[in-house]
Amino acid sequence: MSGAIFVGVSALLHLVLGRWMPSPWVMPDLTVTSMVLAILLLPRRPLGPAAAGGAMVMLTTVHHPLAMGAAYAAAGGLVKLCSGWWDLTSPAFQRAAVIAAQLLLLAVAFVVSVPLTREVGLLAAGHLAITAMCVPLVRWLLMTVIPSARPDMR
Amino acid sequence: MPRVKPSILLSIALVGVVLWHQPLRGLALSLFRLPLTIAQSALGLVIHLPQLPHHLQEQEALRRALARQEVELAGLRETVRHLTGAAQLAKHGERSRGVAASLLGRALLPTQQTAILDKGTRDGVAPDSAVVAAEGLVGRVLEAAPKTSVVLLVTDANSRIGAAVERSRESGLVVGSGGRWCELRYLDAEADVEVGDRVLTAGLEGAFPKGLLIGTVAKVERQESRGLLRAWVRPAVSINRLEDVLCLAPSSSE
Repeated sequence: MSGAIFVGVSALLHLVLGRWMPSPWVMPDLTVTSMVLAILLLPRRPLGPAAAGGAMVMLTTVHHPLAMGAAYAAAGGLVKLCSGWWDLTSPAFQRAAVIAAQLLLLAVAFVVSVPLTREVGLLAAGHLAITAMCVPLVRWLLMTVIPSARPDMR
Repeated sequence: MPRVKPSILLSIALVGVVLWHQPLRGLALSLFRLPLTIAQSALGLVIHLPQLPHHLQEQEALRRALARQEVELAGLRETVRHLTGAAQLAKHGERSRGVAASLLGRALLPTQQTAILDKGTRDGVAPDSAVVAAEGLVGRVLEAAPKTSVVLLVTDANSRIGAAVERSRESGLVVGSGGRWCELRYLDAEADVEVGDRVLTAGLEGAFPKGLLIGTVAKVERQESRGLLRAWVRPAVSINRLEDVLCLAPSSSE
Protein backbone atom coordinates (compact mmCIF):
# COMPACT_ATOMS: atom_id res chain seq x y z
CA MET A 1 0.00 0.00 0.00
CA SER A 2 1.31 3.46 -0.81
CA GLY A 3 1.16 6.53 1.42
CA ALA A 4 -1.46 8.14 -0.83
CA ILE A 5 -3.80 5.14 -0.54
CA PHE A 6 -3.29 5.06 3.24
CA VAL A 7 -4.33 8.73 3.41
CA GLY A 8 -7.35 8.06 1.17
CA VAL A 9 -8.53 5.13 3.31
CA SER A 10 -7.99 7.18 6.49
CA ALA A 11 -10.11 9.98 5.04
CA LEU A 12 -12.95 7.54 4.25
CA LEU A 13 -12.69 6.15 7.80
CA HIS A 14 -12.76 9.74 9.07
CA LEU A 15 -16.00 10.38 7.11
CA VAL A 16 -17.68 7.24 8.47
CA LEU A 17 -16.57 7.53 12.10
CA GLY A 18 -17.48 11.23 12.22
CA ARG A 19 -21.11 10.25 11.66
CA TRP A 20 -21.19 8.49 15.08
CA MET A 21 -19.64 11.36 17.03
CA PRO A 22 -21.81 13.85 18.92
CA SER A 23 -19.91 16.72 17.27
CA PRO A 24 -17.29 16.91 14.49
CA TRP A 25 -15.07 18.71 17.01
CA VAL A 26 -14.63 15.54 19.09
CA MET A 27 -13.60 13.50 16.03
CA PRO A 28 -9.80 13.36 15.68
CA ASP A 29 -8.62 14.56 12.28
CA LEU A 30 -7.48 11.22 10.88
CA THR A 31 -6.89 12.74 7.44
CA VAL A 32 -4.27 15.27 8.52
CA THR A 33 -2.67 12.84 11.00
CA SER A 34 -2.27 10.10 8.39
CA MET A 35 -1.07 12.63 5.80
CA VAL A 36 1.63 14.11 8.06
CA LEU A 37 2.80 10.72 9.33
CA ALA A 38 2.91 9.28 5.80
CA ILE A 39 5.05 12.23 4.67
CA LEU A 40 7.40 11.86 7.64
CA LEU A 41 7.72 8.08 7.60
CA LEU A 42 7.79 7.66 3.80
CA PRO A 43 9.99 10.69 2.95
CA ARG A 44 10.90 9.52 -0.57
CA ARG A 45 7.31 10.00 -1.81
CA PRO A 46 5.88 13.04 -0.03
CA LEU A 47 3.81 14.26 -2.99
CA GLY A 48 1.32 11.37 -2.98
CA PRO A 49 0.08 11.73 0.64
CA ALA A 50 -0.09 15.54 0.40
CA ALA A 51 -2.03 15.38 -2.89
CA ALA A 52 -4.31 12.61 -1.58
CA GLY A 53 -5.09 14.62 1.60
CA GLY A 54 -5.78 17.78 -0.41
CA ALA A 55 -7.90 15.96 -3.02
CA MET A 56 -10.00 14.08 -0.43
CA VAL A 57 -10.77 17.31 1.43
CA MET A 58 -11.53 19.14 -1.81
CA LEU A 59 -13.88 16.39 -2.98
CA THR A 60 -15.85 16.14 0.26
CA THR A 61 -16.01 19.80 1.30
CA VAL A 62 -18.79 22.10 0.13
CA HIS A 63 -17.69 25.49 1.50
CA HIS A 64 -14.43 26.84 0.06
CA PRO A 65 -13.21 23.43 -1.19
CA LEU A 66 -10.29 24.90 -3.12
CA ALA A 67 -8.95 26.88 -0.17
CA MET A 68 -9.29 23.97 2.24
CA GLY A 69 -7.85 21.40 -0.17
CA ALA A 70 -4.93 23.69 -0.93
CA ALA A 71 -4.40 24.24 2.81
CA TYR A 72 -4.13 20.49 3.37
CA ALA A 73 -1.68 20.09 0.51
CA ALA A 74 0.31 23.12 1.73
CA ALA A 75 0.40 21.75 5.29
CA GLY A 76 1.84 18.53 3.85
CA GLY A 77 4.44 20.49 1.88
CA LEU A 78 5.46 22.53 4.92
CA VAL A 79 5.85 19.39 7.03
CA LYS A 80 8.12 17.95 4.34
CA LEU A 81 10.20 21.15 4.32
CA CYS A 82 10.50 21.25 8.11
CA SER A 83 11.33 17.55 8.33
CA GLY A 84 14.76 18.31 6.89
CA TRP A 85 15.74 20.13 10.10
CA TRP A 86 14.58 17.66 12.77
CA ASP A 87 14.78 13.99 13.66
CA LEU A 88 11.97 12.24 11.76
CA THR A 89 12.00 9.17 13.96
CA SER A 90 11.17 11.12 17.11
CA PRO A 91 7.53 10.55 18.16
CA ALA A 92 7.57 13.98 19.82
CA PHE A 93 8.47 15.62 16.50
CA GLN A 94 5.79 13.65 14.69
CA ARG A 95 3.16 14.77 17.19
CA ALA A 96 4.39 18.38 16.99
CA ALA A 97 4.19 18.25 13.18
CA VAL A 98 0.57 16.97 13.32
CA ILE A 99 -0.36 19.74 15.78
CA ALA A 100 1.33 22.41 13.63
CA ALA A 101 -0.42 21.17 10.46
CA GLN A 102 -3.77 21.06 12.26
CA LEU A 103 -3.24 24.59 13.62
CA LEU A 104 -2.53 25.85 10.11
CA LEU A 105 -5.71 24.22 8.77
CA LEU A 106 -7.85 25.61 11.59
CA ALA A 107 -6.38 29.07 10.99
CA VAL A 108 -7.31 28.85 7.29
CA ALA A 109 -10.81 27.60 8.20
CA PHE A 110 -11.32 30.51 10.60
CA VAL A 111 -10.27 32.98 7.91
CA VAL A 112 -12.43 31.60 5.08
CA SER A 113 -15.30 29.72 6.69
CA VAL A 114 -16.26 30.11 10.37
CA PRO A 115 -16.05 33.20 12.59
CA LEU A 116 -13.82 32.51 15.59
CA THR A 117 -15.89 32.85 18.76
CA ARG A 118 -14.95 31.82 22.30
CA GLU A 119 -17.06 28.65 22.06
CA VAL A 120 -15.60 27.65 18.70
CA GLY A 121 -12.07 28.46 19.93
CA LEU A 122 -12.50 26.13 22.92
CA LEU A 123 -13.90 23.41 20.68
CA ALA A 124 -10.93 23.85 18.32
CA ALA A 125 -8.49 23.52 21.25
CA GLY A 126 -10.23 20.29 22.29
CA HIS A 127 -10.13 19.04 18.71
CA LEU A 128 -6.41 19.74 18.54
CA ALA A 129 -5.79 17.78 21.76
CA ILE A 130 -7.91 14.81 20.57
CA THR A 131 -6.09 14.75 17.23
CA ALA A 132 -2.70 14.84 19.01
CA MET A 133 -3.79 11.91 21.19
CA CYS A 134 -4.58 9.70 18.19
CA VAL A 135 -1.10 10.14 16.63
CA PRO A 136 0.39 6.93 18.21
CA LEU A 137 -2.57 4.87 16.97
CA VAL A 138 -2.31 6.17 13.39
CA ARG A 139 1.49 5.70 13.44
CA TRP A 140 1.03 2.09 14.57
CA LEU A 141 -1.54 1.53 11.80
CA LEU A 142 0.75 3.07 9.18
CA MET A 143 3.75 0.98 10.25
CA THR A 144 1.57 -2.15 10.30
CA VAL A 145 0.09 -1.76 6.81
CA ILE A 146 3.24 -0.29 5.20
CA PRO A 147 6.24 -2.11 6.74
CA SER A 148 8.69 0.13 4.86
CA ALA A 149 7.36 3.07 6.90
CA ARG A 150 9.17 1.80 10.00
CA PRO A 151 11.94 4.34 10.78
CA ASP A 152 14.39 1.59 11.76
CA MET A 153 13.98 -0.15 8.37
CA ARG A 154 15.03 2.75 6.18
CA MET B 1 6.09 4.75 -25.84
CA PRO B 2 7.80 7.03 -23.27
CA ARG B 3 6.75 6.45 -19.65
CA VAL B 4 4.84 9.41 -18.11
CA LYS B 5 6.12 10.48 -14.69
CA PRO B 6 3.62 9.92 -11.81
CA SER B 7 4.19 13.51 -10.66
CA ILE B 8 3.01 14.82 -14.07
CA LEU B 9 -0.12 12.63 -13.90
CA LEU B 10 -0.73 13.83 -10.34
CA SER B 11 -0.35 17.47 -11.38
CA ILE B 12 -2.83 17.00 -14.25
CA ALA B 13 -5.26 15.32 -11.83
CA LEU B 14 -4.91 18.19 -9.35
CA VAL B 15 -5.57 20.79 -12.06
CA GLY B 16 -8.67 18.78 -13.02
CA VAL B 17 -9.88 18.75 -9.42
CA VAL B 18 -9.33 22.50 -9.14
CA LEU B 19 -11.22 23.26 -12.35
CA TRP B 20 -14.12 20.81 -11.98
CA HIS B 21 -14.36 20.26 -8.23
CA GLN B 22 -18.15 20.42 -8.04
CA PRO B 23 -19.02 17.74 -10.64
CA LEU B 24 -16.03 15.72 -9.44
CA ARG B 25 -17.36 15.88 -5.86
CA GLY B 26 -20.64 14.34 -7.02
CA LEU B 27 -18.74 11.62 -8.89
CA ALA B 28 -16.36 10.97 -5.97
CA LEU B 29 -19.19 10.76 -3.43
CA SER B 30 -21.04 8.33 -5.72
CA LEU B 31 -17.88 6.20 -5.88
CA PHE B 32 -17.41 6.40 -2.11
CA ARG B 33 -21.05 5.41 -1.57
CA LEU B 34 -20.40 1.64 -1.55
CA PRO B 35 -17.37 1.57 0.80
CA LEU B 36 -19.04 4.13 3.07
CA THR B 37 -22.27 2.09 3.18
CA ILE B 38 -20.38 -1.12 4.00
CA ALA B 39 -18.29 0.55 6.71
CA GLN B 40 -21.34 2.32 8.13
CA SER B 41 -23.39 -0.91 8.25
CA ALA B 42 -20.55 -2.88 9.91
CA LEU B 43 -20.03 -0.16 12.50
CA GLY B 44 -23.78 0.13 13.09
CA LEU B 45 -23.99 -3.64 13.66
CA VAL B 46 -21.19 -3.56 16.24
CA ILE B 47 -22.76 -0.62 18.05
CA HIS B 48 -26.36 -1.89 18.03
CA LEU B 49 -25.88 -5.62 18.66
CA PRO B 50 -25.71 -5.37 22.49
CA GLN B 51 -28.91 -3.30 22.47
CA LEU B 52 -30.90 -5.80 20.37
CA PRO B 53 -33.26 -7.07 23.15
CA HIS B 54 -34.03 -3.50 24.15
CA HIS B 55 -34.63 -2.53 20.52
CA LEU B 56 -37.07 -5.41 20.03
CA GLN B 57 -39.12 -4.30 23.04
CA GLU B 58 -38.98 -0.72 21.85
CA GLN B 59 -40.10 -1.76 18.37
CA GLU B 60 -43.11 -3.57 19.78
CA ALA B 61 -44.07 -0.50 21.83
CA LEU B 62 -43.59 1.75 18.79
CA ARG B 63 -45.79 -0.50 16.65
CA ARG B 64 -48.59 -0.21 19.20
CA ALA B 65 -48.13 3.58 19.41
CA LEU B 66 -48.09 3.82 15.61
CA ALA B 67 -51.35 1.90 15.34
CA ARG B 68 -52.98 4.27 17.84
CA GLN B 69 -51.64 7.29 15.98
CA GLU B 70 -52.84 5.95 12.62
CA VAL B 71 -56.38 5.93 14.02
CA GLU B 72 -55.90 9.43 15.42
CA LEU B 73 -54.39 10.63 12.11
CA ALA B 74 -57.33 9.27 10.16
CA GLY B 75 -59.68 11.33 12.34
CA LEU B 76 -57.54 14.44 11.95
CA ARG B 77 -57.35 13.98 8.17
CA GLU B 78 -61.09 13.87 8.07
CA THR B 79 -61.27 17.14 10.00
CA VAL B 80 -58.67 18.84 7.81
CA ARG B 81 -60.43 17.63 4.67
CA HIS B 82 -63.55 19.35 5.87
CA LEU B 83 -61.63 22.55 6.59
CA THR B 84 -59.32 22.90 3.61
CA GLY B 85 -60.72 20.74 0.88
CA ALA B 86 -59.54 17.43 -0.47
CA ALA B 87 -57.36 18.84 -3.25
CA GLN B 88 -55.15 20.84 -0.89
CA LEU B 89 -54.76 17.88 1.46
CA ALA B 90 -53.62 15.62 -1.37
CA LYS B 91 -51.01 18.22 -2.35
CA HIS B 92 -49.65 18.46 1.21
CA GLY B 93 -49.62 14.66 1.57
CA GLU B 94 -47.58 14.33 -1.60
CA ARG B 95 -44.97 16.72 -0.23
CA SER B 96 -44.77 15.40 3.32
CA ARG B 97 -44.14 11.85 2.03
CA GLY B 98 -40.56 12.83 1.10
CA VAL B 99 -37.60 10.57 0.39
CA ALA B 100 -36.17 8.44 3.22
CA ALA B 101 -32.36 8.44 3.32
CA SER B 102 -29.56 7.17 5.56
CA LEU B 103 -26.52 9.09 6.72
CA LEU B 104 -23.28 7.84 5.22
CA GLY B 105 -20.79 10.16 6.80
CA ARG B 106 -19.88 13.60 7.99
CA ALA B 107 -17.57 16.34 6.69
CA LEU B 108 -13.83 15.91 7.20
CA LEU B 109 -13.49 19.44 8.57
CA PRO B 110 -14.95 20.24 12.00
CA THR B 111 -15.52 23.83 10.93
CA GLN B 112 -18.01 22.65 8.30
CA GLN B 113 -21.06 20.94 9.72
CA THR B 114 -22.32 18.91 6.78
CA ALA B 115 -23.34 15.28 6.32
CA ILE B 116 -23.54 12.91 3.35
CA LEU B 117 -26.80 11.08 2.51
CA ASP B 118 -27.14 7.88 0.49
CA LYS B 119 -29.89 9.30 -1.75
CA GLY B 120 -29.55 11.77 -4.60
CA THR B 121 -31.32 13.28 -7.58
CA ARG B 122 -32.16 9.81 -8.99
CA ASP B 123 -34.22 9.16 -5.86
CA GLY B 124 -35.96 12.53 -5.97
CA VAL B 125 -33.72 14.54 -3.63
CA ALA B 126 -33.21 18.11 -4.87
CA PRO B 127 -31.03 20.98 -3.64
CA ASP B 128 -32.82 23.00 -0.93
CA SER B 129 -34.90 20.00 0.22
CA ALA B 130 -35.57 20.21 3.97
CA VAL B 131 -34.07 17.25 5.86
CA VAL B 132 -36.05 16.18 8.91
CA ALA B 133 -36.01 13.43 11.51
CA ALA B 134 -38.60 12.35 14.07
CA GLU B 135 -37.05 14.74 16.62
CA GLY B 136 -37.09 17.79 14.33
CA LEU B 137 -35.18 19.62 11.64
CA VAL B 138 -31.75 18.30 10.61
CA GLY B 139 -30.87 20.84 7.89
CA ARG B 140 -31.25 21.32 4.15
CA VAL B 141 -29.75 19.69 1.08
CA LEU B 142 -26.95 21.83 -0.27
CA GLU B 143 -25.72 19.75 -3.20
CA ALA B 144 -27.31 16.70 -4.79
CA ALA B 145 -25.43 14.23 -6.99
CA PRO B 146 -27.25 11.35 -8.77
CA LYS B 147 -26.73 8.88 -5.89
CA THR B 148 -25.67 10.99 -2.92
CA SER B 149 -26.35 14.41 -1.46
CA VAL B 150 -24.73 16.78 1.01
CA VAL B 151 -26.79 18.23 3.87
CA LEU B 152 -26.02 21.54 5.54
CA LEU B 153 -26.77 20.96 9.24
CA VAL B 154 -28.57 23.64 11.27
CA THR B 155 -25.41 24.18 13.36
CA ASP B 156 -23.22 25.09 10.36
CA ALA B 157 -22.03 28.70 10.38
CA ASN B 158 -23.64 29.25 6.94
CA SER B 159 -27.07 27.98 7.99
CA ARG B 160 -29.87 30.59 8.20
CA ILE B 161 -33.48 29.62 9.04
CA GLY B 162 -36.46 31.91 9.62
CA ALA B 163 -37.87 30.85 13.00
CA ALA B 164 -40.53 31.61 15.58
CA VAL B 165 -40.82 30.85 19.30
CA GLU B 166 -43.76 28.47 19.74
CA ARG B 167 -45.08 29.96 23.02
CA SER B 168 -44.84 33.69 22.32
CA ARG B 169 -44.67 33.71 18.47
CA GLU B 170 -41.59 35.98 18.62
CA SER B 171 -39.79 35.65 15.30
CA GLY B 172 -36.12 35.80 14.39
CA LEU B 173 -33.40 34.10 12.40
CA VAL B 174 -31.69 30.91 13.61
CA VAL B 175 -28.03 31.12 12.62
CA GLY B 176 -25.57 28.25 13.06
CA SER B 177 -22.53 28.99 15.20
CA GLY B 178 -20.22 26.29 13.88
CA GLY B 179 -20.28 24.77 17.36
CA ARG B 180 -22.92 22.78 19.23
CA TRP B 181 -25.65 25.43 19.40
CA CYS B 182 -27.37 27.92 17.12
CA GLU B 183 -28.17 31.55 17.81
CA LEU B 184 -31.65 33.09 17.50
CA ARG B 185 -30.94 36.59 16.16
CA TYR B 186 -32.83 39.79 15.37
CA LEU B 187 -35.00 39.73 18.48
CA ASP B 188 -36.15 42.92 20.25
CA ALA B 189 -34.69 43.58 23.69
CA GLU B 190 -38.20 43.15 25.14
CA ALA B 191 -38.91 39.94 23.21
CA ASP B 192 -40.70 37.27 25.23
CA VAL B 193 -38.19 34.42 25.07
CA GLU B 194 -37.35 32.09 27.96
CA VAL B 195 -35.07 29.13 28.52
CA GLY B 196 -36.91 25.96 27.50
CA ASP B 197 -39.03 27.61 24.78
CA ARG B 198 -39.42 25.54 21.63
CA VAL B 199 -38.21 27.20 18.41
CA LEU B 200 -40.00 26.25 15.17
CA THR B 201 -39.47 27.03 11.50
CA ALA B 202 -41.44 30.09 10.39
CA GLY B 203 -41.95 28.72 6.88
CA LEU B 204 -40.76 31.94 5.24
CA GLU B 205 -38.21 30.29 2.94
CA GLY B 206 -39.11 27.80 0.24
CA ALA B 207 -37.01 25.04 1.78
CA PHE B 208 -38.65 24.61 5.16
CA PRO B 209 -42.32 23.94 5.87
CA LYS B 210 -43.81 25.90 8.77
CA GLY B 211 -43.81 24.39 12.27
CA LEU B 212 -40.81 22.02 12.21
CA LEU B 213 -38.99 21.89 15.54
CA ILE B 214 -35.48 23.39 15.29
CA GLY B 215 -34.59 23.14 18.98
CA THR B 216 -35.14 24.57 22.43
CA VAL B 217 -33.81 27.81 23.92
CA ALA B 218 -30.87 26.93 26.17
CA LYS B 219 -29.59 30.38 27.14
CA VAL B 220 -30.90 33.96 26.95
CA GLU B 221 -28.69 37.05 27.18
CA ARG B 222 -30.42 40.42 27.54
CA GLN B 223 -28.29 43.48 26.78
CA GLU B 224 -30.71 46.29 27.73
CA SER B 225 -28.14 49.05 27.11
CA ARG B 226 -27.65 47.94 23.50
CA GLY B 227 -31.31 47.03 22.97
CA LEU B 228 -30.33 43.47 22.16
CA LEU B 229 -31.49 40.03 23.12
CA ARG B 230 -29.46 36.98 22.20
CA ALA B 231 -30.94 33.52 22.57
CA TRP B 232 -29.00 30.30 22.14
CA VAL B 233 -30.85 27.31 20.77
CA ARG B 234 -29.89 23.69 21.41
CA PRO B 235 -30.77 21.72 18.22
CA ALA B 236 -33.49 19.10 18.65
CA VAL B 237 -31.59 16.56 16.59
CA SER B 238 -28.32 14.89 17.63
CA ILE B 239 -26.81 13.63 14.40
CA ASN B 240 -24.91 10.77 16.06
CA ARG B 241 -28.21 9.25 17.20
CA LEU B 242 -29.88 9.51 13.80
CA GLU B 243 -30.63 6.41 11.75
CA ASP B 244 -32.78 7.67 8.90
CA VAL B 245 -33.91 11.08 7.74
CA LEU B 246 -36.62 12.32 5.41
CA CYS B 247 -35.92 14.78 2.58
CA LEU B 248 -38.92 16.99 1.83
CA ALA B 249 -39.10 18.65 -1.57
CA PRO B 250 -38.79 22.46 -1.43
CA SER B 251 -42.10 24.36 -1.61
CA SER B 252 -41.17 25.94 -4.95
CA SER B 253 -41.10 22.53 -6.63
CA GLU B 254 -44.65 21.74 -5.58
